[in-house]
Amino acid sequence: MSAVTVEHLSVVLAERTVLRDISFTVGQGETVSILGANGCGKSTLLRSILGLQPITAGDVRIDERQMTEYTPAELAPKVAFLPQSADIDGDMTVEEWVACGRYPYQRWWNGVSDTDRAVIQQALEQTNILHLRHRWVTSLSGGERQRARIAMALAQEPEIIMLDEPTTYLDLAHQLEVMELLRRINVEEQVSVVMVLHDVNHAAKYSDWLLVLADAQVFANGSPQEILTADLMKAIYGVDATIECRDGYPYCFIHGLTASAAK
Amino acid sequence: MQTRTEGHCDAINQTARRWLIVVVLSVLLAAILIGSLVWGSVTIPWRTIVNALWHDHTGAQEMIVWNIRFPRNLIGALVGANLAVAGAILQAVMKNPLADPGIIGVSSGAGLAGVVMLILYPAHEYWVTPIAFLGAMGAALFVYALAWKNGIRPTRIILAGVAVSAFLGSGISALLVFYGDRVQGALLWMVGGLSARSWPQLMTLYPYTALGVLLALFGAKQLNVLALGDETARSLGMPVERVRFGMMAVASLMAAAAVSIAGLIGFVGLVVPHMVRLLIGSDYRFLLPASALGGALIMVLSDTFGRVAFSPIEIPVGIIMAFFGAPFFLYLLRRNP
Repeated sequence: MSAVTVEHLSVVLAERTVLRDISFTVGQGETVSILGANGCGKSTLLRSILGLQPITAGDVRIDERQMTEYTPAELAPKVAFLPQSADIDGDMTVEEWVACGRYPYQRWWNGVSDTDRAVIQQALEQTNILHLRHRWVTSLSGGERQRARIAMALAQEPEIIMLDEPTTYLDLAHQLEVMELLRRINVEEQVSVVMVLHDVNHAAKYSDWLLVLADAQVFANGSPQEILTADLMKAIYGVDATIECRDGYPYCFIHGLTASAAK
Repeated sequence: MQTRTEGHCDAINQTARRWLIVVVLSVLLAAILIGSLVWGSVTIPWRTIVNALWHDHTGAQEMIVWNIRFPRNLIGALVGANLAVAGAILQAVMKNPLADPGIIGVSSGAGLAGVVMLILYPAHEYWVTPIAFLGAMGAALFVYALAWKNGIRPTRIILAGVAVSAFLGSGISALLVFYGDRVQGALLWMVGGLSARSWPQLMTLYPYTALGVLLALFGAKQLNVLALGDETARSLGMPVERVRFGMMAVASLMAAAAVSIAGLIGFVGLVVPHMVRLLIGSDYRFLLPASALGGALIMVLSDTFGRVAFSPIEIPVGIIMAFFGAPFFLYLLRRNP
């Protein structure tokens, strides 16, 4: 069973082709990272899969059903999405914030049910923020806030979590914390994870396979061991790099810009 | 608020504090609603007021209380509540702190319709309220229709609202220029006031307020989720466009009912939600009821002052509110980080 199937997806925005003929399948319980240089269409791809970006051609199926057939209310228990940053407008506690994840399960006049409370408690525990439940979201550090956002996604009880650059703006320790958390959720809950990442080493360590985009197309697609090479780093990012195997994962050392990129 | 960054008990204290603010606003509103009945062109003793409110509407003073001051206060409270809640909703759905009932064309629509009636058909003054209401709703619908393009984006509705308001505003100005000899009534109505409003207007207004406040409170959860951003809200399963349209319709209805009864009262819809937000925070479950209470309180307080300060001359409530409210708002703004 596939969690997400994308076939011949194309997106044209203002006469510019942003995505061209993209096809891939994410199996249930897989972790997939989408890599590529800025502006190659990574975020657009994620948003197209979610129906947030109208597609020009092709098909997207979530759980073997056409994405266009889902209403927002039907899609929400299947897929949770964490955009790059969330507006923090309201004065909400962490618990109230995470409780927003129960929105798909509530009628608009209902409050929080016992089931909701149990799921929220579990999401707070899984993300190690139970002790922060009464804190204001605005008072959290970047790493804590990202864990709270992931807890909100977990409270949604999704089968797939999609994240757009989940480690951006975080320091090294918090980046690792978020990646480990996502791996744990993936292993323990069998939730498929599809994320856009900039850090190649995180992608290599924490993903089952990588989808690399360049010039609006799929440049490479496969396991990190197969596709992560010095040539790929040069072609995609314009950097000279050495790839070594560390703890069973390919690890990328960046030496600098390639001569042509430096010009 | 500084306390927000401190320990985890803050949130619990803060929730208690928010309830306390709601209770204090309610008590203050009740006090001013009743207390202000004393003052006016004649001062009326407490015993007479209690009599009038309780059962006796026969004496001259009792009649002043029961037929003039009390319904006028209640209308003021409802108008204030309507405008403030409408403003709070519009600021939320448009993600714009400058949004108020004027931005969706309600004020200019009601304004033009009301001025047309007052200037061209002065003999049919009793039609001003329903026609102004139709004008307000018509203008709001026109703005929605212009802004609609695969859904309603906040920026488009604000731009459409500005354009429609300018267009209708030019119609008002033209009428005022062409019929210079008849502008007095129209001008007074446009400034906004509560004089000569009594039970019939109250009976017209209260169903809209009751329905509007009820729908707004049911919508508080939607507004909280909408505050997370459109994409997050949509991925949580919210039909964002439908919620945005529905909540704007609630705001339009409340604002249209208010301006058709009390004329074009500015300030409340724009500033009261901000004042209340500074006091109580941005959780719409608290912000909306507190805005209703705050709007009502400020409106009744200003109207009482306008009635009493230079008695027997009355200053329209719209002028008083902006005159005292704006500096107070600036004070709150400076005081809070």
